[in-house]
Amino acid sequence: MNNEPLKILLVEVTPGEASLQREALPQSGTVQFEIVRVAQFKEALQYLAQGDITVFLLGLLPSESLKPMQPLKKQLVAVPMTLLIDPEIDLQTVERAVHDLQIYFDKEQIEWNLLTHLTHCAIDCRQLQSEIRQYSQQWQISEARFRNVIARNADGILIVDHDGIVRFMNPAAETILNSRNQDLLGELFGFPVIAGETTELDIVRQPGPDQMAEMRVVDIEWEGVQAYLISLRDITEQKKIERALRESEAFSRAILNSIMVYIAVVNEEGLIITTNEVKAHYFPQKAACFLKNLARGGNYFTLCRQAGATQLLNGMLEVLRGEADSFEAEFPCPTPDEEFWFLIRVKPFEGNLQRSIVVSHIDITKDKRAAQAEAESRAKVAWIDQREREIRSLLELAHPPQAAVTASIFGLVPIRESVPSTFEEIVQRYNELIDLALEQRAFKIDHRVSEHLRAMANQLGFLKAGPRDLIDIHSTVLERKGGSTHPLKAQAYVEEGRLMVLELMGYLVSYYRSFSIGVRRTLTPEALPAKPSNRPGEGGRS
Amino acid sequence: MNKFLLKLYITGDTPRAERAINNLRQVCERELHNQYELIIIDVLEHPHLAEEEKIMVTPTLVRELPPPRRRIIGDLTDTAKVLLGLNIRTYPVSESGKD
Repeated sequence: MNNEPLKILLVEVTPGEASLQREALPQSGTVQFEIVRVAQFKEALQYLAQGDITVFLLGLLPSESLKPMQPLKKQLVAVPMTLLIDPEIDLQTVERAVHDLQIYFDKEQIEWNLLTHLTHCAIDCRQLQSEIRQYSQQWQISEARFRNVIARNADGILIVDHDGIVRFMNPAAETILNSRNQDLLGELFGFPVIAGETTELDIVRQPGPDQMAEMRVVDIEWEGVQAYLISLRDITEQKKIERALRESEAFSRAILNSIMVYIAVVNEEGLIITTNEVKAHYFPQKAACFLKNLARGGNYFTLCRQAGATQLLNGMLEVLRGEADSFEAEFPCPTPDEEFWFLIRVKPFEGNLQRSIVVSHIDITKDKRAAQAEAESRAKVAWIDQREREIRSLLELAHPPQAAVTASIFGLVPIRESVPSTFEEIVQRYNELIDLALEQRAFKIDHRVSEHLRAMANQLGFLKAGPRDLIDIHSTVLERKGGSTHPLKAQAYVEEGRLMVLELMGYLVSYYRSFSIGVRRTLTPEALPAKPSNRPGEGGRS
Repeated sequence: MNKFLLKLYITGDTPRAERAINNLRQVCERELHNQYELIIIDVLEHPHLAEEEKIMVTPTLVRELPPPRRRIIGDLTDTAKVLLGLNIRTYPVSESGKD
């Protein structure tokens, strides 16, 4: 309490008693009093209206009516009051008149020190009452705010007592449980039991399947008794989304696992976060490359560094850093027996937490082999085309229309036309000889092909055959063999035939030379013709 | 000793329902020693029973006998709380009330 003097308003119609009280109060202790005496209630009201009265001291005469107290009651709410009453007044009447009455005395038996002490007590008591009233108001405001917060909470809130009876529920709880407040209040909900912080419940009274709520429970005091505050959160949509995500993830994984491509997701540290499931030994196990060592939990970058795959490593790092949208490289993976190829494709992947890359490993071995085979096939086709062109040119050479006309004029027609049966016979023999020559080369068997060729040259010389006849025989045989022969064998025929026709030509030249020498010996040198053959245009070449 | 008649309300054949049944069976075997009868009611198959009993959520366990009737809701994994909730045995509750 501070040291300011207590301002006492004394209502006393009897001046003698008022002065007695005035004298008594300052003597009763160290507390300073300032007494204002009025004789009428009307004056008292004016003082009270000023608001600086600490104590209202009221002395009453027996004959005085208590009615004037009624208007004073409102003013007296904040002012402690001590009442000096006459013994003849009925106390109950006084209590009814002054509800906030602190204390009262028998006026004729009053001890003034006691009056002073009790006046202080009245002040303290009134202050306490005032504080209690304030706290009570604050508590009511606080509780109203609390109920308001709970009522507006999106989570359903139920308060149940220890028997599981519902004592309170908010609108959100009504919605979640699909029940009205008045239907559940006072009803049995249940004693909440959870092992951890939360548990999941199925909502029974909601229409539709899979209605779920998450329940939390805390102990509280509710209206003076221990209770449970149950909060229910509708997690139906969340569960649907989770299920959809799980299904989507399973769907994606099934697709990933169904494709014949090994896919690895690699984070910024090179760690392989996940892979799809491909067939066992997707990468050849005998291969010397590092791809066979790829597995979830391994470090791709380390494997690249160890294998010296710098280009691939740099490509992946560029994609990770965002410097490139993608990276592709063909990666050989040879084994001692055969070669395998993989196309490695790197694409960025923006995850929730960090940037990653998706590395696809596509087996392109078949494509590579097919491409190689196609290239070889094209080369062979080109070679065969070249040979065909050669044969055609030889045929054209063997059958020049102008040469046939010239030959007809001189009576020297090709063997094919002059002696077709013999030509066919020679063609057959040449055909056999070319096979024998091929065997001789391949299997080192001596078929004496040269001797047969020499004999054939003698026969051709006897028939006065020229180079065109030889080319005709040679090209006819090759043409017949080329139809149904494997390209490789056809190639061998062409190469071997080229040697044979040259050898045959040599033997024919040799035959004509021998013929020329024989003629020269029988004739005088002067009479010798300039050329052994009388075929125009051929003698010079022989 | 009176036999306990317990009714467990579940919703469908879900892992959560299966877990509740297993937990409750373990608690009953351990604590009630065959002095119980357990009836499992699927509210999807018997919605009228849930309606009559005013079952709001599942799993809900109701102690029908002996009186007084008690009802608990939740996952039934904590034996002490289950017994406390069913008023079968009184376990001391900590200050926080969580254990």
